[in-house]
Amino acid sequence: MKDERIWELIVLKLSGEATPDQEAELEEALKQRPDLALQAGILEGVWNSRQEREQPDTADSFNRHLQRLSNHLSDGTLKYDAEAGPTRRTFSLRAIVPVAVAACLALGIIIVLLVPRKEKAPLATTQNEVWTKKGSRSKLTLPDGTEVWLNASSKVTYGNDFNDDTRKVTLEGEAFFEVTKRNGVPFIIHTHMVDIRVLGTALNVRAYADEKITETALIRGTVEIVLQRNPEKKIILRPDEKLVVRNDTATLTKPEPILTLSQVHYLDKEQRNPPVEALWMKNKLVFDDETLQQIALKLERWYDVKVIIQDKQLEDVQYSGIFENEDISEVLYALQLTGNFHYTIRKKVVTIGL
Amino acid sequence: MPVMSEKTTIADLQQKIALYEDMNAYRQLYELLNEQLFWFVFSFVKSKEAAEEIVSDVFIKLWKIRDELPSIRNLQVFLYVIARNYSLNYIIKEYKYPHVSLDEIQLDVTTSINPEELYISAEMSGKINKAIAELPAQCRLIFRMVREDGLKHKEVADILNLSKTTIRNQLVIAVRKIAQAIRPHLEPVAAKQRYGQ
Repeated sequence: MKDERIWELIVLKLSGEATPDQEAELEEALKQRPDLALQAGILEGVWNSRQEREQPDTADSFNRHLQRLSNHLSDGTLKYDAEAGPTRRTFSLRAIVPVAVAACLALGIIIVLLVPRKEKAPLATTQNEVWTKKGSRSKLTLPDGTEVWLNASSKVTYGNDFNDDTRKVTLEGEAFFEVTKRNGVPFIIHTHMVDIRVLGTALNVRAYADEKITETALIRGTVEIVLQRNPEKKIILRPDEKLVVRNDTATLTKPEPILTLSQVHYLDKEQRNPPVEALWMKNKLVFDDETLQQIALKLERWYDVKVIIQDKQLEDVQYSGIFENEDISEVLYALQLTGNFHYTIRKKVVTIGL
Repeated sequence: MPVMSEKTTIADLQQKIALYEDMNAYRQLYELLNEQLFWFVFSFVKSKEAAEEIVSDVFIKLWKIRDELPSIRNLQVFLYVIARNYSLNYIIKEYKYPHVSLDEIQLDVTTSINPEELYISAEMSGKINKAIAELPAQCRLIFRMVREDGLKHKEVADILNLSKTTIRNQLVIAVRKIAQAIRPHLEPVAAKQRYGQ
């Protein structure tokens, strides 16, 4: 018998996959080949010898796992409590990151290679544009009755053919949509990162090109979100769910998820007020565990100022707070009470340093 | 070690989790498979923190789809496939290896033998361990999955998306390399004592 065949049989036997016939065949063959029989014997010993691998500590590991599981179940995808009643858990932004990978995959989203989409959002020949400057907000009503609140430094564009067979708008910046229900006519919001297809619904979309993320927060109804980078994958949002898509992908240094599904953040259990994601509609400036860098962008838009952070170490410090009718110096004063920084305001330039 | 009872145990736990949301069963399953999945994932992602997180996500996924568990024929393979996919996604997201294939990834499979159990010299066990360590990455991974995780050839083939023949051939390569390492050390006397009866 050829050596090759003998080795094959040895492997089958070691793996426990040899049929009785094959075992007999091997035994017979090894009688003729005592040298191989010897090696086979030692190999069997090697194969069966116990492992002493460096072991991850199992008890702690399971406890850590349970912690992550429970974080996930309470703050992750809202499969279980979309209609569960008035109890609404507050959620922490810190819980997002560990949950995110699972959340993405729970939705069956597999982001393979992020090929940029060639085709652009279809635009009609004549465009209507509504936009806001920094420091101002606005509200408009579309031809179909859909109401749109436009946050600062934002733009909504829609064609003259709006209202025919499909309703399409393009959004740059942030807007809250109260979409009128039209049977069979979807309402589509194009942004630079995602396309959102909605039926009757209320949602907040934040898609500023200069921010790191694109955020869709659903208050009522159902929406379907398509990633521009990966149009095959559709993500369905249910009420009170929020999808965050990271805008950059190439520059990441730490493994942050590309997609994060989490819960919109209500401050009051009764949900009389909009969640924090949409409080800007009520003229409230909200920071929800946000970094100073992120806050700087918000301040620039809200107050039409330029914010300069001089020390890099300040950028990632997180703050929370809600401001209503305060001017920028009051906001900065409140922030620096908790943060270790100083600021100056000269004309329209805010400088923040140590 | 690969034993039939382990497969039965897994099937049993699978059922308990699906039918009764049995947390104890869930824990047992975790304890049974955590380590092998951990090293499987670690061989791709090369970070213990990431590997632990990914394995944890695999088990979160398992918990979330517990209703569907009865329709999964081979849970162990299913979990390996999820673990593989998560690992590859992790690597893609990390952008360290933009094009990932099994051949290219530097696999880090720890595997070792214990000389005392084998009645062989420390020197020879060193040679064997060295031979295992020097196997090509994919070959070593397959060797480990079959030998230590108790997976069938067909199962490994499904998990790694390779053919059953490839798995067998890779194992033949592994086994022959190890055999080569021990050959010069075989002494007739020692051999007689242990194998020559």
